[in-house]
Amino acid sequence: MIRRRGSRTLVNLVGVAVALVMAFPVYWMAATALKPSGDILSSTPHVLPWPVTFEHFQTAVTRPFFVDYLRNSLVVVLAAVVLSILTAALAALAVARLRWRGRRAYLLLIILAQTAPLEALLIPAFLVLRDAGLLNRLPALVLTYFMVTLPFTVWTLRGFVAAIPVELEEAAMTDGCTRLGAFRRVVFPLLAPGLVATSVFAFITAWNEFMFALVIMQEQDKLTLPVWLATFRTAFGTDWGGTMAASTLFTLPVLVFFLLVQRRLVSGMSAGAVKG
Amino acid sequence: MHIRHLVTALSAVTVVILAGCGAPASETPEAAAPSTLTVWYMTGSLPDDVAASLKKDFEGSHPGVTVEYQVQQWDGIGEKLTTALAGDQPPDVLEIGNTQVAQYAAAGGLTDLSDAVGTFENSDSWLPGLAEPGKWEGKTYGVPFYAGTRTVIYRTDLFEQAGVAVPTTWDELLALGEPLRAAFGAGNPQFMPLYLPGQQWYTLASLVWDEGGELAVPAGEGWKGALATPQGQAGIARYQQLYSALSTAPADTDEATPQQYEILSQSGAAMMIGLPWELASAVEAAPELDGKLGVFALPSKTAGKLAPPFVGGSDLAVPLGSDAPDLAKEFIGLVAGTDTQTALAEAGAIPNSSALAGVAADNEVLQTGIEAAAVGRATPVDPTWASVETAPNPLKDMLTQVLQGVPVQQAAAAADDLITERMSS
Amino acid sequence: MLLGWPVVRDVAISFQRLGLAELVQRRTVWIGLENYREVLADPFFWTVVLRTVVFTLVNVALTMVLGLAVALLLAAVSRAVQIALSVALVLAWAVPPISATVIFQWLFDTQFGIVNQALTGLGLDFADHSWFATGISTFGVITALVVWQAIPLVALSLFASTTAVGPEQYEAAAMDGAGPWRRFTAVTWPAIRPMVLVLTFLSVIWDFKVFTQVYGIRQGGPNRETVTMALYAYQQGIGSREFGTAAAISVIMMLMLTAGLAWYARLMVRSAEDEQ
Repeated sequence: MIRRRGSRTLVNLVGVAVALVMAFPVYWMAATALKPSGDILSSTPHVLPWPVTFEHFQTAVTRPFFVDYLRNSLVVVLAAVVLSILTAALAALAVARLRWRGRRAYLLLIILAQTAPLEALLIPAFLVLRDAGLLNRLPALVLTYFMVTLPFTVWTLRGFVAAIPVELEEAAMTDGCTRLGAFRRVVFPLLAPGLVATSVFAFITAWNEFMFALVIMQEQDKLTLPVWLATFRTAFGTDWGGTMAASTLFTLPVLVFFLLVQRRLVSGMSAGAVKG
Repeated sequence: MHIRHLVTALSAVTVVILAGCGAPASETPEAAAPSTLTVWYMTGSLPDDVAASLKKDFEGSHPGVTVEYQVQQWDGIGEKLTTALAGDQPPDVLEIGNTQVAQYAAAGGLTDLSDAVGTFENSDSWLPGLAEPGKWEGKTYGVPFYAGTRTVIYRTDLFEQAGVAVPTTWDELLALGEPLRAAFGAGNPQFMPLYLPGQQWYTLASLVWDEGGELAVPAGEGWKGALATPQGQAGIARYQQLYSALSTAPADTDEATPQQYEILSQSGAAMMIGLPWELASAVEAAPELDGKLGVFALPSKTAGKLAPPFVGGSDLAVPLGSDAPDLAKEFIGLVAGTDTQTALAEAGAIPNSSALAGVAADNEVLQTGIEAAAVGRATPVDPTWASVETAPNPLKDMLTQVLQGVPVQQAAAAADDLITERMSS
Repeated sequence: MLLGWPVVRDVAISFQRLGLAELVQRRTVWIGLENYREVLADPFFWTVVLRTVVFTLVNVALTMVLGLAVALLLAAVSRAVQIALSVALVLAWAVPPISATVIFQWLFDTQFGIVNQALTGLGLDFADHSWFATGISTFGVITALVVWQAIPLVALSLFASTTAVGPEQYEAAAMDGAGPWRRFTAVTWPAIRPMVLVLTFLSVIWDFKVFTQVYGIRQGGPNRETVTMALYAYQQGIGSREFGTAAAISVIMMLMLTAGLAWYARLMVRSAEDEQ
């Protein structure tokens, strides 16, 4: 018994150590953001941010267009995620439940689309939008993020739909529901964890994206937060305090989102994988 | 209803709805109407008050015209300019780095401004470091906006305490190491006389030119790297000499990480080679340094002369797709003219013309920069040069290698190969 | 079709000469296989291919092994440590890659980085040590960054899968006299195997085309020693304004990834078929 307790303590210690290592970079980001500039560039490390200053945060949020960027980011990213998830849910249903010609090719295309390096699609996407006359409009950005996230969301949701026993749906349909009704009443609620898990990924991808926003949007008040983050890194140098403060603020929404959905996210991931 | 059709229909509907509601009427693009002049400049290029008074003047003399500024950031600027010129609504006036004009002009993205040159004030005395790179195949596409020239920025208080004077020759500069280290090295083991990071290629260019060399020379149809020439190697050796005599900064970073003015403001070094705004930033970071920073130009190997500095800076151009090119030319005339240039000089920029050298007679810092700019040089004028500066910049990598012990000849030859390759595409 | 559009356009561009001039003047110049010929003839390209494959293998292996280790750790520690560790994992996960890259640059900064200061404090000679002096060392930092951010997903998903295993199964195995290793191979592994496959698949795709982190840390330096395929496509193509070349490289990347994952993809498509 004593030996077991000893090994349990050891395991816990390892657990704490791993937690510290994993969290340290994030701590260091926040700590740096709270230090006065003189303490940041110092040859003796200040492990605790003392004295604390909020000057970097203040500089960060008072940059021109911060509010516009924040609003644009939220609107564009949320719109793209919602659109992507809804479409993907239907597409996932179509590929997981229905047999149609070209279905196999469609699945392959989805896999292929995921292998495409995003940076290389910059110019093709620009040309597509230029031909469509959509440049410099926020919906174009929504559409771009929608297209960029769609292959992944379809692919992941397909796994989730496949994990839902088809019998449930059939039972609903014999009870008089249409296929769509069965989808809405039976499949959709069961799909919820999957939708959460998938939307988190779509959210992060779109939230982070910098180059497409920069190229598609021309006017500065139509840009997004990653562009604001980049203003702290100029050709002439990096303002560490400002960058760290901005990074902290930039991370916060994602973090809040994550902590809120963490439990569902993990159970969703494992549910989807069973039949993945 | 077939689900697949529903999917298509739904996504189409959503897109339409979004497209319909996402762009409120109040935000309809103004560029369609020629009464708006859209002007892009880089962050920091125009002080706010100068920009505001320019707008006021121009709108006042052109009733019905609105000037709209878009301030651009450095990150991703190449992609931004490329797609802006290729897009449907390019701006009307564009600031472009002087070494970048040629590639956009050669691609057919800019308006030929040759006819208008005569109408611009001081066009006969434009700084060659700005005017030459603004030309392509004999035509003018870029009008000099402002220049930036690096000089040595030093701490007058530290120089006084160490009892040393401003060097006027190369050897005097190298000899500063000993007394400065003796005075401050004991109290701060990280102290270095000059903060010269390994990858400050602008300084390398200056030293190569001082030796009579070039970064690249025309060869046949294209260009080839010229660092492995005797003059090129001599320039690299000078950089090595300067670094080993005065600097212990990392060999594999440039002046941007960390920002070198922060080192100077924390007394980590007594000198740095930088731009006037870096001096201002040092004072901002450490207000007690106000009045304790001076500048001198990098001395040549020939006594009494200056090493030709790299003239950075910007030109103004008009995209070919601009719907108001005439207004754009007039606006450029205003920015490039004596009044605005004087205002810019008061804010610390080097004006675009040597005729305006006198505007800063009472400003020692600016005056030194202006004098240096007069003998300054720019990088090879060719559309392909821009790709040499694209990361990873072979000049930077070469400097790091040399400082880490790779023979000059070998590193220079390797860099030449890369330069030649990049300038041949 | 919507989702494949930019990819199709990308393939088309790979057969065109599309430089700055063609882009600005809206010309379409077909040049057949010229872009491919140029890329395949570049000896540096093959160095990059080999490097990218090795990089992907190392990163995926590290991610999966460490992620699995952390998952097992999560299952073994006490409740309080479990919560602390989960929170730390979520923190590391939530940091957007752009910010994470900046943080790691700052951690490993030559003069003021906490890593050098800490190692020096431990009595090692790391004062002014440059982590970015050689390609290997720079790759080390990049790998640390990529793996640090990839562990949370793997660990949390696998942990969720292990919770699907009831304690009675372990007890039964223990009754049979199974040691820890036997218990792992007989009970845990079968439960998490599908999840491991999915995560490996995703990790291979993500690590093979990783861009933000590699570009952000050193732009492929020193001396092009950390240029991977995504960077090569970006620098040869977009940096030098040869968009046709960029498209060709990206098509090659897609083909390589698809070929590499073909066996796996077939398995997935087939299992999708079987779900009918």
